[in-house]
Amino acid sequence: MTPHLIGFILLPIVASLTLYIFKNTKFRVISVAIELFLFLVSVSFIQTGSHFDLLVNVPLPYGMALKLDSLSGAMLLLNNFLFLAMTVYSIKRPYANQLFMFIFLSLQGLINALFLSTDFFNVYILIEVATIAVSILIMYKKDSQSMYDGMIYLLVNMVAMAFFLFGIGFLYKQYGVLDFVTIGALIEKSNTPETLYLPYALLITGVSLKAALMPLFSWLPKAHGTASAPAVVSAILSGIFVKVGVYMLIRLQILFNPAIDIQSFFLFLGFLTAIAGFVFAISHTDIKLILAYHTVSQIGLILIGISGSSELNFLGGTYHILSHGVFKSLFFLSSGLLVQHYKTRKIKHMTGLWQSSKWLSLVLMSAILSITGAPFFSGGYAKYFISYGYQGLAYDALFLVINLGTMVSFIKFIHVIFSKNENPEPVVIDPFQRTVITIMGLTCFILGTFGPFLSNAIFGISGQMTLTDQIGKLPTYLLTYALAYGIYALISKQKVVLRKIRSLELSFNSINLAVVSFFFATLAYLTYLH
Amino acid sequence: MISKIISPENVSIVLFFIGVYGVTARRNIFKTIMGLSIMQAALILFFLSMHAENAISAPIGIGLDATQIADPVPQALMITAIVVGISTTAVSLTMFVTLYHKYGTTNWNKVKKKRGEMD
Repeated sequence: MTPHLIGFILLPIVASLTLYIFKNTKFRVISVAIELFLFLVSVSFIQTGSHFDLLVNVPLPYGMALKLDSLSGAMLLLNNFLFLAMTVYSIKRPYANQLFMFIFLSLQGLINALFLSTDFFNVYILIEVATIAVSILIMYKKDSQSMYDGMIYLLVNMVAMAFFLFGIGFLYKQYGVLDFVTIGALIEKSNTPETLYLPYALLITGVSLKAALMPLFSWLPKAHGTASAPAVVSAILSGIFVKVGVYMLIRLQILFNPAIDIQSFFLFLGFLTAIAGFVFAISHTDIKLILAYHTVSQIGLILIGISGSSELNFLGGTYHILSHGVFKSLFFLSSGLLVQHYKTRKIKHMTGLWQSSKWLSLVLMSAILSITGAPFFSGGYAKYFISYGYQGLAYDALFLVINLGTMVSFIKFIHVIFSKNENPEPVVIDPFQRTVITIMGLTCFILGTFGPFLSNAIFGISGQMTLTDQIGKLPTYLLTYALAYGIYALISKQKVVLRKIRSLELSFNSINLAVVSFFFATLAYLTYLH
Repeated sequence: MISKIISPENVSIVLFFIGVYGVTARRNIFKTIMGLSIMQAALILFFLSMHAENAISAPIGIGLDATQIADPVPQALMITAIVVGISTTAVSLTMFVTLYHKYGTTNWNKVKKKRGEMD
């Protein structure tokens, strides 16, 4: 059977629009059925190899096509898994009415389209439309805080996409085509890489903002951590939508690699992003903001992986996209439950979760173990390959610092579970929510323990990590944790410093200035240092 | 000489950076939205003037000589880009009106300060 990839894009959008127009009361059941179908089809895509679907009966470079390969297959799998989970999770939530489901599922179709698209201009249009959908979802409850967050998000992303479109213009002017395949072939033949510097710098500026790299991440915590957005929206934004930027970055790297090789530049940016993310995360006390800043840090780790020199580093980076997608969504869902239960977003006021709900504590624990890179959990497996093959004291120290930073900022979550509460009340979780968070918690474990098998099945690269490797990592993990606890005790006393870091926040103009500076810095690096 | 400097490409680059100035240096939210529109206009000019010299005619009609007409692809792309640009501007203006009702100011920094107090 030849899969019709267009179904991935049209089905969620058309179905949710029909349900919205005809006001079907069974819309929740039908959307879950659609999600289940899409998820099963994307599972069946694993190992089908690359597949090309022409949208019109004209061959490339004149027509349009959708392309499925191992990378886009993996991203489709993650996207449809997360949307299935979120749809089931929100079955009984009051905010999930037909209008919300329409925008939400349209976003799923758009993200699927972005992963399958093979054309620069299509990517631009899809990202613009997805940006509008996301900003509406952020402001869904229309309160003052989310108005500002949504507006910053929309305008900053539009500025970045203007840079992206300018880059497409220069590329088209040079080559006269827009699809990835033909441009890739032309770049390989090109012997004047200097002419590509300007379009590359423009494209990379747009994509780096979407992926929230080092100077360009200020919009992300506001958008992902906004107080009033439903937990499922934050989960989708951090779980998959920010990965669209990372995915485009990988695609651009693959395309431009024959002419422009700036892996070391991105490796540097990756370390910088990873460190900056957790520094801000440690300073914050708002549960959603901690998680949002941690997304920045993990994006840095993913970037280190995909810019690494060996194939195994690349595997680590792409595998971490999957594992981060699952555990960060799980974190946001649990944080939604915690905020609802404790009626505050301050993590210090949340105590005694173990007494209130053992189930939620266990699930939260599996997410914490994943993000801190414990053996047998998804993050541990991915991080093992991200740092694979790096030798020398400097690299060891950098990876140690990143690991420590992650652990230090998640000690607050361990406090939530194990601290004492005088009068614990049971957490209210409906059966759908319970099912979803349990499955996601188990997925964190499965992605880690069966890592070698899954990475071979999904990416076709076998990352060997035996049982002894996993167990061998345990002492290092525990030692690092003990060290992290000590550092946490020291840092938590520096209230003035923490408050200072917390108040560092770029205004709209400064974010745009960062975008322009990033563009000029990239261009200067390419022209003079490359 | 001067007509070479004032080519469509150079004009669009200058216009683009005027828009960039608008979004980086102006604190008025309304002016930043205007800056964005200027950037979009610059991009449209850039695409439309691509591969189009003076003696060339528009790609409209039947039986045209392919060497004598302008490239139709950028023109088709720009219709889409104009539609998307108008929608995004409309959405941001709508959001701006609501934001103004909530915060009572058009200054980014004042809005940011008030937002910071809510946390």
